[in-house]
Amino acid sequence: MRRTRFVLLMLVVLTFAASAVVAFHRHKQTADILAVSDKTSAWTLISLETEYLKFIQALQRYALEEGGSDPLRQRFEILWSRIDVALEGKESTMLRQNPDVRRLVDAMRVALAELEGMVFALEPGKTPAYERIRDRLEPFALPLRQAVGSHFRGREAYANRDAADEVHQEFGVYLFGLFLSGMAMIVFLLLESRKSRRQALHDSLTDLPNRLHFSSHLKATLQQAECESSIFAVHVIDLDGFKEVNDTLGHAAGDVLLKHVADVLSQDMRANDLVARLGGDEFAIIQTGIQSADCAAKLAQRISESIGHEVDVFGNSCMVAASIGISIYPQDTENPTQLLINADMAMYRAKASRNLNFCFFEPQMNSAILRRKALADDLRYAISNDELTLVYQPVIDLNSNRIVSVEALLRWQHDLYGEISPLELVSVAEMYGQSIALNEWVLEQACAQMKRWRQSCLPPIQMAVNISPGMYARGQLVESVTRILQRNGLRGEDLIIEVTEDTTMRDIDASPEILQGLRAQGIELALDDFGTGYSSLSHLKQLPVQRLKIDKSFVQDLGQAPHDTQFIHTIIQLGQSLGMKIVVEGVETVENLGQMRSHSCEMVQGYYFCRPSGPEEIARRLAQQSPEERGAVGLCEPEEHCALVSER
Amino acid sequence: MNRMQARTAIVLSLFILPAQAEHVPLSLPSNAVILTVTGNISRTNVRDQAHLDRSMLDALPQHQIDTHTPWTEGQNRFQGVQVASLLQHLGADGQYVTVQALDDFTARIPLADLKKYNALLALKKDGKVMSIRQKGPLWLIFPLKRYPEIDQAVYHDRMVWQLNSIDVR
Repeated sequence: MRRTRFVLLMLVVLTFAASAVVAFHRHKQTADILAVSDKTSAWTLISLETEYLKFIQALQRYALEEGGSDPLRQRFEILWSRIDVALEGKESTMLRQNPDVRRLVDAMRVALAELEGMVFALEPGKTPAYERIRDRLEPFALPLRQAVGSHFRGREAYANRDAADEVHQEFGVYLFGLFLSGMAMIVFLLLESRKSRRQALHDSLTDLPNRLHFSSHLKATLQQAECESSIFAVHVIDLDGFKEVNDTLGHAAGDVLLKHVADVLSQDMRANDLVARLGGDEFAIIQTGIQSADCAAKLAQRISESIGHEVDVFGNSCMVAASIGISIYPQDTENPTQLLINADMAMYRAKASRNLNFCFFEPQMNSAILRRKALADDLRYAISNDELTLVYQPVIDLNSNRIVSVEALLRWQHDLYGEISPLELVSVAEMYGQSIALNEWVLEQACAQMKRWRQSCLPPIQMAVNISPGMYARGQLVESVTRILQRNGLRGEDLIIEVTEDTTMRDIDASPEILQGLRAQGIELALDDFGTGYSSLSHLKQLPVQRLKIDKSFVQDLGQAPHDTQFIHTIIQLGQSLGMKIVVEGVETVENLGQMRSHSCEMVQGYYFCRPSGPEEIARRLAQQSPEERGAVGLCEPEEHCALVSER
Repeated sequence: MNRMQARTAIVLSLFILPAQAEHVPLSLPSNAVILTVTGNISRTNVRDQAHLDRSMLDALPQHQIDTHTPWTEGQNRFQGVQVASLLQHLGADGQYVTVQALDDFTARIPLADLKKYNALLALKKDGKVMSIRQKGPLWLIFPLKRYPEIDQAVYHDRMVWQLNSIDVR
């Protein structure tokens, strides 16, 4: 296609060039031919003939004794000058190039030279000298007349004129060619530029307007709405499940799906509305002519219904859903860029919720985004400057009443936002690609702490560290852990890696492999928050975990409904029958403890025994329970602990 | 003469000399008349015409033009009288002149063009008097070489050879 266009363009240019050259050449020829038959040579010939005739007349008058010798001589002189005019100078060049004329003029010059003496010596009357002169000159009369005539008539003159006409006509044809190719070139350029303009403003896959087009249209719509004091909505539509289609069926299938969605979206639009593909699986709509946000909600609902159908792609039935975010002008913002950002944030809210197809922008979304962004920026700095801290919460073996392990928990005191919850901290790290750095920092700090405790000759316990999904999915988890253990002189058995069910579900195929890798290092694996995620028993069977940590919600709900007790009892029994150690989280009261004991639970964790504490407090606790005979663990009593610590 | 006196003399000459010239009658030609000037002129010698022979023209300030022409080969030096100063000498007043040649060829020329380009009424070509045969005795020459813009048909037609009369209107 491009090749054909190039060849065509070259043809047009060549035609243009050829036409121009030929036209110029022909034009010059015309001018030359016209110049030949122009006055210059003709006038010279006519003048020569006239002076010839005037001299003959003067001669005759002289013979009749009517005129003096002076006029006769003067006419002879003038005739001479005429001969010279024909023979020299630029003006008569063309004339001389005609061989007949040249011969004639030369012959006349010879005759005049012969007769000169006679003319000046001539006596009045019809003397023999007069007759000789007359007889010598008379034969020139006819050739002169013919020469003049041939310049205006005759074959050559006609041929010249015909040639001039022909050249003129040809010139017209070439000129037309010039005109035609010029026009073609212009049309070509216009088409090309229109095409490239369209390409610049449209998405090549779906043929929908692209982000650039959308932005300019958004600005225009906003200006119009400003003038008319009307409102309009910006919808941002993101497809859920598109990535899966792309990954499992290939990009060609993804493209088919995108085209289908583009068609569905376009069908629903009114003339003034604009549907655009912003990129990837993200679309946007500018909805004008609405009276209230309800109209926008109706459109969003309609879109989500029409997209949420099964689509046949290459024989596969695909299901995608739309998450739609809506921002309304002018109530949300009057800035076009912010409108799009708002709609985008609302879209993410819709995507995050499991039951909302669409979501309107709310101002707090903006501040949430800003907070997250600020946290992300500061987190990078906090990690590299050790501004985060770890606290440790003991896990108590109910049989021995001793601390058998501690779980490292992340704390961050932010200058502006104060205490940041581990959940938010991890989610920010995940979102901004800092999860690997964060996890490694936690692993490193926890292992280093273990090493210090060991060096203080405290009784050995295990350290449990939580691993976030980002590290699990992307990082070289096994390598990192191995390296950190080695650096701190610890064995795999000293470490417990806690993962949630959701984390392991993220990369379900690689999960057993990653966990086996850790296992091979002797590391114990714990499934955290068990019972809250998407757990499946078959999954539980596949994962090589040695520990189940039952979520605190189960303990806290105890006693509120009769079968809650049965529930936790069953889970504990299930774990135990699979050969797993059971840790129950959230044991806060003496009643909780009693119930756990009654369910033959082995290990517990919770405020009843100890809140998450700094390393010194844990050291004190550990010191308290060694030597081993000293036994039981008491309630947390900071003042007392401090005293004991200071004693050491 | 100090500067003041010199300036006075020049100013005086501007007013007095032309007036004097106009009132001095034109002498009669002593040889063959080669130029007849007619029309709006104030100095005449034969009725209302001015008849001039070669010596009378030679007596006027002489100028020269080196140029080519369409009727000669190469470049020639033409010497003679500037048409404008000749006409002033004869007290001429008008816009156009019509010049005529021995062969009755005529050309109408604005006086302004003659002045602007210092057109010459040539008496000699390359130092020699021009016979009729050599397009003499008078040839109106425009300096084509100096002013390429006038090297074109209109001015070629005005370069009349064998010129014998000038009519001022």
